[in-house]
Amino acid sequence: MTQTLELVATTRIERTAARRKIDLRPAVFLAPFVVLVALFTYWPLIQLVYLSLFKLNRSGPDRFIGADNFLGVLDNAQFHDAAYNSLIYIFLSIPFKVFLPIPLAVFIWTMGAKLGNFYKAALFLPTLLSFVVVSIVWIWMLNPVMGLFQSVIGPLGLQMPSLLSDVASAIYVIIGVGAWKLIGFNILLYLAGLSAISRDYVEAMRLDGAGDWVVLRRLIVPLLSPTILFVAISTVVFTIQQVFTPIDVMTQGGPLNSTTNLFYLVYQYMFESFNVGYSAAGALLIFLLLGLIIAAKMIWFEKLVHYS
Amino acid sequence: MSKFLLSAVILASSILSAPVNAADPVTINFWHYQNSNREVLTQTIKEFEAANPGVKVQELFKDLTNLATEIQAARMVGRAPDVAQVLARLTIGMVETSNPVPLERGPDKGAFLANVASNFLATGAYKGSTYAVPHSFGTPVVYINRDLFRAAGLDPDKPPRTWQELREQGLQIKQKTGKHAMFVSNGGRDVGPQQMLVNAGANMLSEDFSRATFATPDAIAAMQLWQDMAVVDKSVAVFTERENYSLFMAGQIGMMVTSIASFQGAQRSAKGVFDMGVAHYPTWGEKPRRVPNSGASLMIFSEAPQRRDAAFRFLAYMMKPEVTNRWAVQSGYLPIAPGAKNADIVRAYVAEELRWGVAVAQMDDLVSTARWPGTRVVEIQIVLENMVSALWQGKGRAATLVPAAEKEITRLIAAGAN
Amino acid sequence: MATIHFSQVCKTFGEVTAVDRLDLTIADGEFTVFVGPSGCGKTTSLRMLAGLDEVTSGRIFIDERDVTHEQPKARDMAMVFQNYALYPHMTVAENIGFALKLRRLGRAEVAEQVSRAAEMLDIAHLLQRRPKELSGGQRQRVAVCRAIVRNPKVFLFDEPLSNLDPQLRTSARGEIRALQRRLGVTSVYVTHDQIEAMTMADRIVIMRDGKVQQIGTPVEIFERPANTFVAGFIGNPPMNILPLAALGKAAGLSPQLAGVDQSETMIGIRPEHVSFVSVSSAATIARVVQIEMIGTECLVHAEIGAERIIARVVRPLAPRIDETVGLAWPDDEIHLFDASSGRRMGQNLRLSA
Repeated sequence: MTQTLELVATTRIERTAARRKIDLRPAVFLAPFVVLVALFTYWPLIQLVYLSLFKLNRSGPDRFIGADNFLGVLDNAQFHDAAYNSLIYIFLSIPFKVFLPIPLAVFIWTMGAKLGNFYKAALFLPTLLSFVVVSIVWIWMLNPVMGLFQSVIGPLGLQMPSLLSDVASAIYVIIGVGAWKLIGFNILLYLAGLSAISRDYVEAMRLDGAGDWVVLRRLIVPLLSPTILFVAISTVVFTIQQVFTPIDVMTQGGPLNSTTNLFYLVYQYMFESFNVGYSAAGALLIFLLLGLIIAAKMIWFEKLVHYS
Repeated sequence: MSKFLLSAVILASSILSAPVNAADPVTINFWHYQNSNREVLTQTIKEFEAANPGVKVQELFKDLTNLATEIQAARMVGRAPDVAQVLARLTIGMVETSNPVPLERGPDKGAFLANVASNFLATGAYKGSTYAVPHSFGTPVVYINRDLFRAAGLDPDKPPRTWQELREQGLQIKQKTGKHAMFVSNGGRDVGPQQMLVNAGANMLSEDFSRATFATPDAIAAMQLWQDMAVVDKSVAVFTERENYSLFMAGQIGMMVTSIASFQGAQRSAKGVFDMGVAHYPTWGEKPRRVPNSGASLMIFSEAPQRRDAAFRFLAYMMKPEVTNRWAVQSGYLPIAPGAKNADIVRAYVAEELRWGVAVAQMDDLVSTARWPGTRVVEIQIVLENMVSALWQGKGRAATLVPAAEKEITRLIAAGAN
Repeated sequence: MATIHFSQVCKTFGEVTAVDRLDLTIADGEFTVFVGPSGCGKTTSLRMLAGLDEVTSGRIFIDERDVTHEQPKARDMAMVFQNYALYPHMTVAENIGFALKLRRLGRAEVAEQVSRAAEMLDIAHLLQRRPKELSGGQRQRVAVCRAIVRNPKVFLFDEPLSNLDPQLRTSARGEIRALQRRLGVTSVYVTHDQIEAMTMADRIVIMRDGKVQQIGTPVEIFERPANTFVAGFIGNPPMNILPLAALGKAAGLSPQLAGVDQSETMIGIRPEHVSFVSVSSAATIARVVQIEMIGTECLVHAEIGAERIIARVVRPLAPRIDETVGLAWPDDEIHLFDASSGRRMGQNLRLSA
């Protein structure tokens, strides 16, 4: 008897579920966004894979050439320098762009409101400036003959070194300018994260006997870790976007390939050589490289992040 | 009734014949990168249209760095411009990818090409046909800061004739005034070194475009001279291109080696700052001067026959000596017609502006710029650019670096062959 | 083991004076409670003692040592915060042992001291949990445990019970006081709850608007409030304070009150001292307007003209609403205050029966 009842009950539920109407409204609201993303992000990505594996032909079918484009990119005379520089750029940027803003943000956090606002505005200003403008101004500040720094140290009998024309230092100038530009923005992100930390914790730790360094290391950094992860990822993304402009304006990849990188290489393939296959292959390589970096970051960091 | 019938017939026939009415103007697209000389260009176009009512020319400004790529992309989708201004050194690449029309195939069977001096026309020749005519050519000259010369105890009216003299005078400028004596514009990566190598008697490429051939003893010596000036004399300014140019304009460098195409801009910037002169590109010892051109040519890409004919008409007009001479005088580019040196308008302007006259006087010394074949042109250019950078920075001697660059470029030509 | 001395301590924030000339000596082992309404300066005083806020003027001494400008970590004090401030990313054991770790004690020793302190507070089973997994009461114990494990000179409590529910509060305050007595550590406790003050303190410091109103033992405060504010603050329901003139013709009251200027005097009577008598035998008549039952007793609200008076009587003795009653009180439970300054006037008057 009970079994029959159960059977009746389940079939009734199933029928009711089938008759219940599916609510289409979320789909309708999401549709435009999904369409845009599909059209401008995912479709080009698929095309990219296609373009990297085929040779375009105006007067006939495209020819499948497999890994030829990839080999061509790897064979590029500047490829090794470009790949090496890309890694240097990303990994050296991180300490300056991700870690340096932490103590700066903490410093501003402990100031009063007025002074804090002044510093926030002053440090954020470079982020708002156009990178082209920033690059040109920095060229002129660093110029060893007429630049701002030379005019200050010249009377003291010192000579500004040729930082942008020297193979050893050019890339660090680019990294430095990029960092200078982004630090203010990351400070604001950290300040947002800090605002969620109750001052009680800091006071409790001070009474426990902690000095500034201990408070930073054992309290602020752990509680800030979700923000740090976010800043790390967004910094890598921003850095990639920014990595073209200063080089195009300041050094065009030189001197002696010391500032070229994978992104600049793809640009050159596409816009200076119109080599679609190579640039697609190069772009795909960059995509994979970044994917690896971010995956590694997420796996490694997730263990350390504390979500309260 | 008959009036009505007549008008109806006329109306009907005009409607029916509209598509094939040959009196309708054909509009052709002209892509160029002339920013500062745009008005002169549009003026010329208006005159052409007035003389040729059947053709309308739609001129479109495009950024120089992307122009060649845009043409190739447009060609890919069947929307190539009819006439376009293409950097001379990219001619072969264009021929290989974008199907330009051989200029002997026009209605006049290439007769209008006689209006271009033969050494100029050579830059557009490839595998037996001519694909490009010169439009905005430059030749390298030496801009000098006459005030700085005088301050160094040199006579600005006696600028260096040879590169060896330039080195000596440069050293004197450096020692007497403490300022840098010279910078060489790279002209877009490889133009600067090319000019020096060719002037020293080398050819960049073999006749069949398969090998680089510039590592001759004289060429190596020329490069070594540059290195010695930079490393031993320390008289060469080796900052970024942008900085070098601005430093010269600020009176901080004695000489600027770059195309005459920069003349008008430089003249404006130097006014009130220093007294600017122009001197010939120095010769290599007693060898005659031999300098590759810089700048761009015009090519035709039209596919439809009607538009092609219209494009040819436009090009023929642009190549008329009176048009090219006037364009040269107004823009500062080189005149290209045979015997242009003696044309009245050119002579008059040379008399007025002696400095520009220096470039005109170098017309006969002009040879074609190297036109790199294959798909790896940018890499080739970077090899040359890096070779010069390495020399300036003292990272190896010319005897090693120049042959190495030649070998690498030969490899890249082969690797990029289709 | 520490004595504390506040010497003319002041704290101003710009134009606002938060603490005005606090002068107080706390003996070793004493449990002192700062009490008062919000904004009275009690928390600020505690924070100045801890070193978390700067002293504007005056000095603070611990064991004769001037610590006015010393860092918090140098003062050897432990504090229990209102919100407990347990480090959210550490376990309970790590929270408790943190200060010991900072002192570079060995891991074994830290663990031992932590477990001993945890036993004392009955939270040994929670040591591996994180604060967010604990209930309010458990967190409060952890906060207290963190304070005691350090063996500091002084305990500071910043309203530690205000986030607990009432039943928990009652048991917790007993435990805290018992613990403190056992350990014998000088303690300063801040609260806005006068019951906590009365039940826990050795001495109470009542503050209002930055000024100290009275310092004394609970009994002193209760039996001899220094002004109308203290009188009205301590005791639940608060003392009735009425203008003397409202109680009726002076002649009807005690002859000893006859000499007092009625318009300048306020009279204070605690609700528990008010009793009901027949109208004919009373000097003061009132009409009952409200009765609240609170268990065995009732709070009777009565109106004397425009003034209200509350009496607290056992239920059987309560009148009915709207009844007109006579009020009486013992003579030695009358408090007199100056009407303009609020200050207590002279001794209690003893009215002849």
